[in-house]
Amino acid sequence: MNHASSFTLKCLYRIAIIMMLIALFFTVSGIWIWRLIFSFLPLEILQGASSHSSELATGLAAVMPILNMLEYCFIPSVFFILICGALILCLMMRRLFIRSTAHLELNPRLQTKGMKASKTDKVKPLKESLKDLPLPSESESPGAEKKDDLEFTQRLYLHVLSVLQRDGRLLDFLSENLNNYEDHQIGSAVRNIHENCKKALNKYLKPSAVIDKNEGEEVIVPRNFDISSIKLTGKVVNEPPFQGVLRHKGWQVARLELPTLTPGQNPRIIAPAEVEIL
Amino acid sequence: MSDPVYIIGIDLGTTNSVVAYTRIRSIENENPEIKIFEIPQFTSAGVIQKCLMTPSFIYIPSDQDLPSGAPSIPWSSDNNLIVGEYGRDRGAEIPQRLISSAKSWLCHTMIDRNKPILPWGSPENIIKMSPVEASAGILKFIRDAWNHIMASRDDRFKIERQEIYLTVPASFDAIARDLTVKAAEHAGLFNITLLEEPQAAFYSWIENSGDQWRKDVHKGDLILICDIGGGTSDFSLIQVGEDQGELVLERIAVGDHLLVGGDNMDLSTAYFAARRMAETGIRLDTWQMRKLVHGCRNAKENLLSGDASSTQYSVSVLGRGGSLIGGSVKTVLSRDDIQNLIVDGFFPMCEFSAKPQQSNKIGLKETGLSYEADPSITRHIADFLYRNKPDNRNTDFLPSAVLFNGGVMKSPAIRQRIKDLIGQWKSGEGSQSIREIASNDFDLAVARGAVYYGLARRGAGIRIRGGLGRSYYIGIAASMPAVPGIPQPVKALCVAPFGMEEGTGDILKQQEFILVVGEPVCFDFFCSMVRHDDAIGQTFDDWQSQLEEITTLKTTLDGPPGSIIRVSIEIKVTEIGTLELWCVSVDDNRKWKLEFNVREQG
Repeated sequence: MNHASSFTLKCLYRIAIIMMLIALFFTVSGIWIWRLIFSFLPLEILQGASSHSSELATGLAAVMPILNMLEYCFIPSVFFILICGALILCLMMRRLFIRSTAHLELNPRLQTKGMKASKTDKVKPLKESLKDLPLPSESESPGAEKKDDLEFTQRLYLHVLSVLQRDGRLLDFLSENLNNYEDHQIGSAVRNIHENCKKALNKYLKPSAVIDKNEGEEVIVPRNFDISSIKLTGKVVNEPPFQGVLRHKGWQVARLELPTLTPGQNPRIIAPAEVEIL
Repeated sequence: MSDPVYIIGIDLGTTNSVVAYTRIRSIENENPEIKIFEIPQFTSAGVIQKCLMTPSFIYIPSDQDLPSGAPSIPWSSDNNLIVGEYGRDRGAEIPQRLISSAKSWLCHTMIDRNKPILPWGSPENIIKMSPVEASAGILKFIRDAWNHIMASRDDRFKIERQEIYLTVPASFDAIARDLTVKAAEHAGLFNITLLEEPQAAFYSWIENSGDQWRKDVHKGDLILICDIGGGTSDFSLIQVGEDQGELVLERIAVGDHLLVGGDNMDLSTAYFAARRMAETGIRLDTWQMRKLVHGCRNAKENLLSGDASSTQYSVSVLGRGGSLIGGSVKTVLSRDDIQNLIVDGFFPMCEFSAKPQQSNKIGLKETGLSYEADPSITRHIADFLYRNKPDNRNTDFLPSAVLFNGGVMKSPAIRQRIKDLIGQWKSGEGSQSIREIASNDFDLAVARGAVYYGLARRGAGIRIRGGLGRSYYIGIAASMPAVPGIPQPVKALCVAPFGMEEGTGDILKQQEFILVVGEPVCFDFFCSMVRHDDAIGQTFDDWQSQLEEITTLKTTLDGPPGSIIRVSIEIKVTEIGTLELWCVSVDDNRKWKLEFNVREQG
């Protein structure tokens, strides 16, 4: 595998060199064609004609410096553009190449690391192979894959809700008509739901504050702050940095690991109905 | 086979299993990082998530549990089992399909441990597994998860090729260890070494403290390791000595296998709460009872957390189905209740000489798991320490430090109680006279320690001297004229003394046996937890009160039938931590292995 990947890399460099050669070729041949055109173009005739008509003369006077400049700039500009094109193409291909052979590259790298046991080695295989962990949807046709993907997305969307219902009975609680009960009845139920939902949240998401300071404390919002993690309110007129008062700490998750969903489940089910067989 | 890339520690617990690992690297790299392998498992129907701890429960699904044709876990080779969190939760709803505490069944002498008997007491038409198969099932589950995540692209990372340390309770005898190794082999794991759990917990502390541990323990210290998990309790004593200026650790005693742990505490709290509810006329069904146990566990954790502000906790069981508030019942547990139930119930203050209460002999006893008759763990600790007290010393043999492990020990109140008690035994000095060695993680320490042990064996750390945790004996007929009506007396012959180290062996030259080819040979096999000073080859008569009969050893010699072979017995404590006995022919060095009989014992 090591061999294969270095082979393709070599190919890549070869392609780039060939492209540069082509660029050079086009530039040189372009200059030659340009010269040829000018040698055939009866400039003298044009100049002669200009003496007949003053409009043509002024027009030609305006065009001539542009033509001259083109001749001077043509070589470098075309050369430059073609080289740029080659580079861009090269980069694009490299990216495509990496994406398509990421898994091919993984192992050789590990192998060499395993041999050297270098200090920076941080047991890569876990993390890297996790990225494409378990989606077991190996459907035959792209249509079915799309449908499966949609189903998984739908189930993921409901997943948190279904965990909170399973562990904390949240939906049952929200669907209750609270008018039927006294406050103390509700209170004792809420304690239970609160505790269990909190446990579930902490287990799967570990929510924590975005700004870990007391609310009411002064904070400084730096120049390049992340607008998705800090929301500014009040008198926002000048440019950052801002000085303000923390009103809400915000929430973020420390652990964001999507579950793997096995196929064959109805995506619309949050919690199944229970039937006890006696 | 290529060299292993990882050292893997597997804590195959009674209620939870944990896997830790580290990458094997050059010795000069000082701080190897030990990581926990999070095992992907079902957390609910159709949802797989990774968890630090895998509940050691196996649920045998019916056709109605999974969508038709769908495998349970996509990468699993054993598709008809659900292991882990969902297995435990689903199994609680259908107990007849749940296998729990497979490990405790491994050391159960009243049943055949190779016979499919689990789930215990379930109807005929459900697939059954033997205790060995069930343990293997959990290991297979771990194997498949590892191979899927770590080795999906390179076979060199497959778990079968790594160096694996599997922890067993210190109280496991030679047979239970042997069965554990068999279970691992059943799961395709051949490269394993056994390690005692309390030792692993101690290793984890060493690993965590870096070099600091040399300052925290001193020469002459005696450390009690108190490992109380969900279903079992396990004790060990480690002595700190000195050899040429270096500290030396030696495990000098191990306790019995006690089937009492955190689950018992949750249950007893739940029964207490249920009784209190019954006084107000509320009857609970099994579903509500299960929720109550769950609530009581929360109550226990909260009230024993050492937080002075929590003095009471309201346990409520929400109504089933839609009428959540209307159908809910509640009771309030105060800190005193929990103190009475758990701290005084399971950890009562007692005398050093206290003995665990034996259950009254009831003629008909259900086979099941032999749960402890006396749930008071402190009496078991007292008994353990008392039995290992040398005759010439009195209280200075009591531990000077204690290391706690297991989920129950997260509670400061319980830790304090044990320290108080041992302090009181030490001539009433109070808890100051005993130090607590701070554990870094009560749940994950054993798996991490197992990995550290793997590193230590490669020369990167200190090792605890241990060896066999008991002395083993076989019964031999005394040469005496037969007297009618009196059974031939049997003498006990020590074949493997306490502390015999791994990787060593011996041959009993002075004792020869004359065995008949073709006929089954059978020896009675005994062990002792207390006789630490017997030497190999020593015999004694009056053994009934001190030895415990564990099984029989069997073999059949091959050769021309009817002929006679003189054999002596060879003993090996293998590198992986199991005990093997062989019959060796005196004349031509042929060998026959004596197999442990794991069928039901009288």
